[in-house]
Formats: sequence, C-alpha cells, structure tokens
Amino acid sequence: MNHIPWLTLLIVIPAGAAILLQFVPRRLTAVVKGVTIFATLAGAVIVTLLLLWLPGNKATSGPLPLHFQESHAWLPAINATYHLGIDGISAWLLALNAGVFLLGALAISRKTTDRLRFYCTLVLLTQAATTGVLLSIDLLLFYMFWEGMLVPLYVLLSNWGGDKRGPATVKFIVYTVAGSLLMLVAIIYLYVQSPSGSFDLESILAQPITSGTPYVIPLIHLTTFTPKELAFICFALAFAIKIPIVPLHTWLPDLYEACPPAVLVFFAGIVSKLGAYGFIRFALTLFPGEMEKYRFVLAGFAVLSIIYGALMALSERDLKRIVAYASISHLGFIALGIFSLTNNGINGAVIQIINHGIIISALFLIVGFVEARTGTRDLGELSGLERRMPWLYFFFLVATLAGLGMPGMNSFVGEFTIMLGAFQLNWVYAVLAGGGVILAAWYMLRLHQGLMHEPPKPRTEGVHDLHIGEALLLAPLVALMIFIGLYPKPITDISTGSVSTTVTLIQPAASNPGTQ
Amino acid sequence: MNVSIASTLVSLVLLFPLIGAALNGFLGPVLGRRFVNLTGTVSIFASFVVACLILANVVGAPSGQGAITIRLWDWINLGGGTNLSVGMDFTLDALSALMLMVITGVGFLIHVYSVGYMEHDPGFARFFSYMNFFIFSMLTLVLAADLVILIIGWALVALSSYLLIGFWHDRPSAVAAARKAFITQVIGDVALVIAAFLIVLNTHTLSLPNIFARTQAFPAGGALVTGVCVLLAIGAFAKSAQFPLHTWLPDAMEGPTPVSALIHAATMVTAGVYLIARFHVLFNLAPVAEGLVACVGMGTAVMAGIIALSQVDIKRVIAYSTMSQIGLMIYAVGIGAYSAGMFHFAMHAVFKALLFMAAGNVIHALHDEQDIRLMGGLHSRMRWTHLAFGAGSLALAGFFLFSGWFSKEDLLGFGTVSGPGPAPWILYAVGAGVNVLTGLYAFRLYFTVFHGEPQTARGFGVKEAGYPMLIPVVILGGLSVIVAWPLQFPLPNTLHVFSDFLSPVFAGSQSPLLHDPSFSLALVALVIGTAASLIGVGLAMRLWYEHRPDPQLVLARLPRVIPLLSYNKFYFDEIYDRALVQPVKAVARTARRVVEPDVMDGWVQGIGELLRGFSLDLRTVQTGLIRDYASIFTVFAVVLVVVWVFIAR
Repeated sequence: MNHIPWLTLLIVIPAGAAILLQFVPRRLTAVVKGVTIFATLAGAVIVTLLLLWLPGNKATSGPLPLHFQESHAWLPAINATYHLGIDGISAWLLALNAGVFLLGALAISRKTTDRLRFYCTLVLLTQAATTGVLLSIDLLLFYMFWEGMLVPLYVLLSNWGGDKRGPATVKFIVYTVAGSLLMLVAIIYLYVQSPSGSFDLESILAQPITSGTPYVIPLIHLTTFTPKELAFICFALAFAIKIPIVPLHTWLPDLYEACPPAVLVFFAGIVSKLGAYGFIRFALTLFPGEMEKYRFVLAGFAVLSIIYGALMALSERDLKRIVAYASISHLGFIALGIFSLTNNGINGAVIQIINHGIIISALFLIVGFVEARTGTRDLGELSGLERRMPWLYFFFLVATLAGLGMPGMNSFVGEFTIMLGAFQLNWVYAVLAGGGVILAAWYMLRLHQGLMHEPPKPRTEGVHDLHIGEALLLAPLVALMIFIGLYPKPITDISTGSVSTTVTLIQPAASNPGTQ
Repeated sequence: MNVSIASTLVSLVLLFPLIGAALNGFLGPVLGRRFVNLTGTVSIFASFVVACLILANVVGAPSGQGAITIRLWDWINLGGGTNLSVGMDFTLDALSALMLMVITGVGFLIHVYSVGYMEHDPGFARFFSYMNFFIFSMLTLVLAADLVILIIGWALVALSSYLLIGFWHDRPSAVAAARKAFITQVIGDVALVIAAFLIVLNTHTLSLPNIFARTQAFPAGGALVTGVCVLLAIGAFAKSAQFPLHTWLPDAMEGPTPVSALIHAATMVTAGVYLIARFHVLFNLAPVAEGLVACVGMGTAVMAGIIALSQVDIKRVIAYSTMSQIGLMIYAVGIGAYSAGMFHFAMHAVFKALLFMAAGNVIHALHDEQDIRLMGGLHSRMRWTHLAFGAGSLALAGFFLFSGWFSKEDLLGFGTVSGPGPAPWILYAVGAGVNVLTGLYAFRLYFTVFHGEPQTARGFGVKEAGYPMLIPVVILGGLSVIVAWPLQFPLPNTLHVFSDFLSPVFAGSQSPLLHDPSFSLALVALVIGTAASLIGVGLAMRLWYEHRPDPQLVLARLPRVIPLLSYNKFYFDEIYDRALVQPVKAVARTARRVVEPDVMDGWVQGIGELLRGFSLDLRTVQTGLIRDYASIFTVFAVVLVVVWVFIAR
C-alpha cells in the first residue's frame, strides 16, 4: 500500500472527476451529482485511512517529520519540486477538507441549482486546489495551489452569488491577491537567500536563512526591519487576510452574504482555515525568531478580532452577517492559539480549526434552511420557529451551544486550551478572550432565541420542519460536536507530536533571537 | 469499595437520568404522556437507588478509605506538566454521596410532583427530558474529580436551568429571563476557567485530589492562592445567586414551579456552597478570600431578606428567601464551618423544595395567580398544603426544633467565635438580624396566603391538589419537621452524626478563621438565635395576622428609603442595565454604524481611491508632446544623480 501515491490521488480524484463530468450529458443531473458525491466520498475514505495509518507510519527524519511524502523533480531549471507530505496537523485539516466538501456535495440541490454540471466542476476544482494547499511542502507548489484556488471560487461566486455578489467578489479577489503577491515576493526572497537555492520547505529549514542586516532609512538613521522580517510580514499579511484578522476582514461579511449556502459550507468550512494553516506550517517554521518577536502584537490583533467580531455579531440583523462576524470572532481564537506559540495554544488551534469547520458549516446550513422556508434573513422578521420546527430547534440548539463555547461541547475543548496557551503568553490575553466568550453567549443566544422563541411572526407561520435529507446533513455535524466535546483525545493524539516539533523550532530561537 | 464497583455505580447513577432525558426527548412526543411520566420518574428513582448504594458503600468503608477516584476515560493528553492532561475522572466520598442523596432524593419527589403539575401542558415530554438532563448535569458536577469535568458539569447545569427557565418559550419575559440567567452563569464559568489556568500552571494538574495534595505550590495567604480562591468564589457567586451576580435568580421564577423547587432552590443554586466546600483546602490557605466570601454571604442574606419583605409574587418571595438562606450557607463555608454549611444545604433543600411545591399547589388551585395580595383564606380550603406550608415556613424561620433551627443555629454558633477581632460578633449580630427577617418574611407570606379572607371570587372555590402533587409535599412537610433530629444538635459535644459523617472530607485541613465555640458560649448564642427567630415570627403574626398595628402604618413610619429599596430590589437591575448592558450595546451599534464602514472598510477603500486618483493624475502627463517628455526625463535624471551622489553612496 505504500507504493500508492495516496496524496497525489487526493488531488487527482477531484480534478479527474471534474474532467470526467465534462463527458456526462448536462441533463443527467442525478449522474452529475452522483459523480461529485462519489469523488468527494472517495477522498474522504482515503483521508480516513491515512489518519488511521498515520500513527504507524514512519516519518521522514529532518526538521519537519513528514508522512506519506512524495518528492519528484518538477521544474529542475529553478529547482522547484513536486513535494507533498502530511503531518499530524495537516492530516486533520485534510480530514476537515474532505468532510466539508463531501457535505458541500451532498448539500447541492439538483432542483434549484442551474447549470449544475458547471457548478459541480467548479466545486471539485476548488477541492483539488485546497487539497493541494494542504499537501504542498514546496513553496512554489503551495503558492500555485493557493492562487489556483481563487479561480474556481471566483467563477462560483460571480455566477451563483446573491444580490451584492459583484462588489463583494471583487473586494475578496483584490484583497487576497494583494496578500498573495506579497507572499510571492517573500517566497522569491527565501529562494534567493537559501543556501541550497530551493523552494522546498524541508531544505530551507535544514539550512536556515540569516535574517540579514536591518535597513536603515538614510538621513534620519532610523533602523527598520531586516529583510527576513519584511519577508515574514509579507507572509503574515497574506495569511492574516485569508483568516481574516481584524482589520483585514472586511471582505468576509460581504462575501458570505453574497455566497449561496451550499458554497458557504466549504468556503467557510475550509478556505478561511487555510490562513491559520499557513501560519502554522510556514510562518512558524520559516520565521521562528520573527514570530517570537512579534507574538504580542499578533496576539493583540487576534484578541481584537475576538472582541470586535463579537460586538459586530451582537449588532447585526442579517442572519448570514451575524454568523459571518461570529466566525471572525472564532477565527480570532484560532489565531490567538497559534500566536501564543505554546503547545497548548497550537494544539487548541488545531482542535478549534476542526470545530469551527463543523460549527460554521452547520450554522450556515441552518441559516440556508430558514431562508429557504421564510424568504428572509432579517432577524427582526423571524421568531417562534421552535414550535413549527422541533427538529431544527434541536440541531440549532446544539450548534448554538457549540458556537458559544459551552463546556461539554467541542469548541470548549479548543477554546479552553487556546486560552490556556494565551494565559501562558500573558494573562491579559486570556482575560480579554474570556470577555469574548461572554459576548459569544450573548450574540449566539440573541440569534438562537430570536429565531426560535416567542410567538411566530407572519413569515414563520406556515413553515414545515426539516425533511429527512436536510436532517441527515446536520445530524453527523451535531453528533461530532458532542463527541469531540466528550472525547477530544483522538484529535490531539495525532496532532500533539507535530505541534511540539513546531514549538521546539521556536524554542532555540527564543533563547537567542537574531543569531540564527 | 473497589474501583470496578465504583466505576459501575458512577456510570449507572449518571446514565439513568441521561437515558431518561434521551428517551423523553426523542420518543416522548410520539409515545405519549404515560410513557413520559413513567420514564421521567423511574429514571430518577433508579438513580436514587444507586445513590443509596453509594452512600452505603461510603458509610461502610473502613475509616480512611471512604474516598475513591475513578477514571472512565482519558479526555485529553497534551503531554502533562503545564501541557494540558485531563481524564474523565469521578470521585466518591462522603461529600459527593451526600449531594447525590439530596439531588436524587428530593429530585425524585419533585419529578413525581411534576407529573401532576404538568398534567395539562402540551410540552410535557420536553419538560421531563430537560428535568432528567438537569439531574444528570448536577450529578456530573458533584461527582467530578477533575476541574475541567467539574466545569463541564457546572455549565451543563446552567444549560438545563436555561432550558427550563425558558420552558414556556412563547413568553418574552421567560425568554429574557433564560438568557439573563445563562449569561450570568457564563461570567461565572469564565472565572472558573481562569482559576483552572492558574491552578494547572502552578500545580501541573487539574485533578482535584492531586491539586489538594500539591498545596506547596500555593504559599499560605499569598496573592496566588487568594486570586485562585476569589475566582472560584466568583464562579460560586454566579451559580448561587450571591451579590453581585444575584439578579438572575428572581427572574428565573418564570420557569414552571417544579423547576423553581428543584433547580432554583434545592440543588443547582447550592452548587456554589458545594464548590467552596470541595475546594476547602485552597480556601483554608487564603483567609482574605474566606473573609470576602463570608461577608458577601452575610451581606446577601440581609439584602435578600429585606427585599423578600416587600415582594408580592409568591414565587419571588420564596426566591429571595432562597437567596438569603444560601447567603447563610456561603457565610458558613466562608468562615470554614463546612459541615455546618452543608448541613444547612441539606435541610434547606428539604423545606425549600417543599415551600415551592406547596406554592405551586396554591398557584395551580388559583389558576396561575401568583400575586399574594389576591390570595388569602386558603387554610381551610387546602388543608394539607396549608399544613405542609406551615411546617416549611417554621423550618425556614428556624423555629425551635424544626429542621431549619438545627442547621441555622449550628452555623451561627460557629459564627460567634470565628474570625479576627470584632468581626465574628458583628457578623453574628447580623446573622441574628437575618433570623428576625426570616421569621418576618416567611410568616408574612404564610399569613397573607393562608389566613384572612379570600381576595378573589376564585379563592372561595379552590380545591386541594391531586395526589401526585400532594404526596411529595406531605412527605417533605413531615421531613422538614423531623429530619434533623437524628442528625445533628447545634451544641458542641452533643449529637453530631452529620458532621461526623462529613469529617473525613474536611479533616485534612482547617480554616485559620474557624474556632470551635465553648459549650456555654454556644448555648448563649443558641438562646439568642432562637429568640430572634421567635421575635421575627411573633412580629409577623402581629402585623399580618392580627393587623396590630396595621402594616401600612408601620410602613409609613419607616424612612421612605427602606421600602423603596426593598420594593425595587436595591435597583440592581436598573444599575446593571445602565452600567453594563446599554454601554455594550451602544459600543456594538457604533462598531456597526461607524467603525466598520468608515474605519475598517474605510482604509481599504481609501487605498483604492488613492490609487485611482493617482492614475487619473498620471494620465494627464501623457500629452504626446516631445518637449514635456524631455523635461520630465531631465528632471528625473537630475533627481537620480542627486540621490546617487549624496545619499545612496
């Protein structure tokens, strides 16, 4: 089984299925959807197997132990390689990726989606790209997938988006492309500076790059950043935009508002987590000294995201925008965990990445179900759904509790460990994040009770409960929210080794910064 | 008791209510009322039987082996040390066995009562599902042997309370009350979580037995242990409705009356007392935190007693009385009299559950009337309820030889000597004042509701409640008379079965504040306390039974500020609304209306505008005239040379 290039298969299956779809007649919508589901299901099965095999798999030796690695020459002229590999962190992101795309494929409505074949093709291409992002160890390859992901997403949004899709999509693309171009500059800098002249993360890490002398502004003799710090800032900006961290977030609410629910499941589920993954995989490993130096500033922005997102979620009236800002607040927790640079914090971030993917997918599905039945997303026009939709009430209740960090639910595990990491950084961050938890209870209950309780309004008078297909989409998500809350150990058993490897990369830098 | 038996017992005691909750929630609406009534009550009874077995095991264990900790599964393991490592751990000892008995015993009676009370409610299945889930949560809380698991139980309890307060979800007031209760609980949760961080970073463990074994990490009286204890106390105050986190409890009366009896009187709200008793090892190292707890407890007892005097909603009067009595328990554990505090908890659970259920019978009989000014004259019409309510009121007021007398005098007896300087005497005097207050409000309620003449036409035609609602009330009424007699006598060197039972838990460390009073001192305190209760009851009788002088006249003679503060609950709701809720809402509104469009989006749009403006300006340079290009070329060449010569070299 080790001769099979599993990781390549993970990229090839969705991409191949996308090509295959072009030979399926457009009218056979059932076949089109079937192929899409089958492809995402196959990916999910492979990822499950990889997760099961991972503990027994022998990792590569080196600064970044990798499993199932594949390395081939790609562009020998510039020494770029086709280098794939996973570790305990990316394995879980891969699982989330497979899960949300499977869910996204299942959530496709054959009746209401026009040009279904084109739509499915784009979904599969997006999956191929996000999978590539998670597998790439070579920086250039990573960059290619990172940018490539935008193309199908752009087409998806501009064709199937809601009313305000035009400006929202442009804002999103300009924002992220600006970030990734900065990252490209930084990647080229690393390539030029690395002694081995390579794009490969492993070989760059094997012979660390010197930080160089800081630029001094002439005449006023102001010492500014070293070249390596500038490269770090470029990476950090690219990832921070993708997460997004306040104040780089304004593309997200507009875009989510314009996004169709079935797309949101994987858009909110995985795309926004790739920024967090980028921080863990590249920023932490390539720039340990710089992370160490700027961790307090970065954690400050993460806390700002938590509080600001929560306040916005408290005052918005549109369901999608409330969930979007709640998402910014939760992503702030993930960022805070990463920037704490502690075992607890980063493990918490990995758990919370998975949790957030589960919770946000469920919340957007629920918002979609409500909007489809009532024709509105205005919180002021909705109420009293509990009486009409007891099953939706149950699922939404669990999702709400998970969303507000209820102990016993999955997000408590993540937020507790993240806040512990933040406490190790400085107790002020943990206390402020605690304020975010209190606000989360407030805005999630405002959303939940506003939709569910009090007598029904005209819009919610005649609605019917979830039908079985819709309930089956939500049921596994809700089951996972409870299961991970009771037994999070399987996640961290796989991630904790890789996390401590990453953290030890920072420790030597912490003891003598600037000399590496 | 070996580990496997303990694991089985713990699993069973937790699983029965959980299964009951699931069956009722998912199958109840389909299978109907009889199924739900049966599942709901039998699951709790089964749990009660297991709790009895646990108690027997704890009592029967050889001395020193009464406590056992078991691990059901590993919860998370990030490597140990300061890296988090938590197991699904549960503990069985005298303290948790006592809590189990009260929760499942009183809980079972209240479930039986609910069968009658919810007879005509369409949401019966949901109700029993939530009630069973509450029992499960509360048992998790008291059995937890790891701080994280305790926090999980702590929050699940808050969740069930939220669900049950908002049970009648069509009422906006119930929905708001549920939200208020939940958010207050989250404030307490966050305090507990931060306390957990301080503990794990200093002791490298979150397992309770290990924390208590590693107290060398906490220098006695130091800032660290004081901070931990204050944070734990904030969590306890939120759960036990103590100042300043008390405002949710009266609103919680929006829930059905059995909920008020079970959750907001007998069990959940006393979890704060349990928490402090459980963490007594740490509190004993932090006398400052203990003093704070004692003062907050006594302060709340007085404040709630004063408020209870003027409320007109029957359930709210009892709610404030609960707050006041829990204040006394918190005071007791604050001065280190843990057994006395737990004893008052157990007695209070009995008579307060009784008072709420009897009040529920009254409300039911009067078709959901809760205003006591519209009641009266029920004593001959609801004889059994009246008798039970009277017994409960006497117990609450601490009347001689009723259960409340034993427990309240027990804890006040310790209060005469415990603490530095004149503090014990001041607090004891206040405690005696609380005794007077308790007698006053308890019997104001009793006389107004049951004596005099019915105030409405409906009051003349009321009938006694049915058996499911009457039998639990009568059982608890009997218990509130006699239950304390074989357990504890409030004088040193007399009968002390209850505190002997708990002594293995608290024997390891003693609070520096606590001193045992001498027999004669305790006797004097006992006489004064008993007299204070009698004065309260007697005054109430004169005012509200004989109307000599008329209560209105008394009210008119008092300085206006006292009735005003009492009737308006010291304005806490208004203050919190103005000082906390509205400012946060205003900030959130400003964020949405100003900051988001003008600042957060503004700078991005600004860059875009800047670039566009720049390119528009730049376009004007393209004139097509050679002389313009030549002059620009020359200017730039000169600038470049200057830069190269003077700066870049």
